[in-house]
Amino acid sequence: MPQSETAFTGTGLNYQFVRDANGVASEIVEGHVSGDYRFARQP
Amino acid sequence: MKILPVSALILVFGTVLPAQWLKDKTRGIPRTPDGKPNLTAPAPRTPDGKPDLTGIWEFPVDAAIGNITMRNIGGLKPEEIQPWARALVQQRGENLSSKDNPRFQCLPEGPGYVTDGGMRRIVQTPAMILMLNEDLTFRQIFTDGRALESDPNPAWMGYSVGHWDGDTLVVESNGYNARTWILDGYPHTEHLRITERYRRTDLGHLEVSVAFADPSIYARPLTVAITGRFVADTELLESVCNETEDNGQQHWIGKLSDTKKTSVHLPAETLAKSVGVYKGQYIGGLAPSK
Repeated sequence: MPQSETAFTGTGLNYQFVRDANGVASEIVEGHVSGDYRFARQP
Repeated sequence: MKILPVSALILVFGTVLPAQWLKDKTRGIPRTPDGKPNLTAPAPRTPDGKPDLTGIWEFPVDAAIGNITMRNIGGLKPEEIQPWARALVQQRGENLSSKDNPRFQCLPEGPGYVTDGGMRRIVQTPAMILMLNEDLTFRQIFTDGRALESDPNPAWMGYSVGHWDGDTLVVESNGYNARTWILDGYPHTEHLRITERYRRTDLGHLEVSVAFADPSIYARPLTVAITGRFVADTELLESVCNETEDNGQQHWIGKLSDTKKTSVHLPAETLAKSVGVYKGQYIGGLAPSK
């Protein structure tokens, strides 16, 4: 569920899109009960 | 990262010890010329000709997360589930699909292990197959010809027997207490009966189909199919849930409906800016996840 343009919540999970200087999403961080997991955007 | 107000967060929940034998390779498996496990090589067999399922297997975590109230498990329609059970699933969803989960109460998951994601070790002997989990629980599947008892004493991990149907291992289980969940959110009674079918298609892949039958709740069995991936050159890590303060319960904050109250509308063009393929390591997985 979107909480802002880059932040989303799920049930027990958060997703945060990380944007680069041009405002393009370059990474996503999933917040999980066991820790944060980072995923890099593929070209 | 920004901490959102309604979130079940996000500190390390279980204590995981560092890996051991990092440089030891799994012995006796076929490898490609560059030394990697040859995952498409034929499935190994035991001396009596049966497929050998022994090894560490990694299962997808997809089924273990998300809003349980929005899942469509086995195509079951709402009217095929008892009203009290539907209400309970809704309640568990409102509790972030997790807060009441036996896993996060540091209790054994019983039938939950059948479809759980993550890694487990299978040890196959002629008369018994063992499944070892990273939270130090285990399943015993007797393959010595015995039958399930008709009125078992309910237990956390239930009772399991197995037989071979050609190259497929068929496991039948019953005798679970009713304190655990199936498919990470659905209730069951002590009448639950599980049928699992395991087929190792090659060295690297294990196809599993599971049917959860509990006629006192569900008009039809709940079915799910998953594929395990053989992982070599590693070992299980032990994960002990209740070594953390309050068993981690303090991190489950708020309700699902709270999240809805703070949600915003995003136009499609805004969402489109983030559409793409993202790749990284996920929950102890050895291979990158997308």
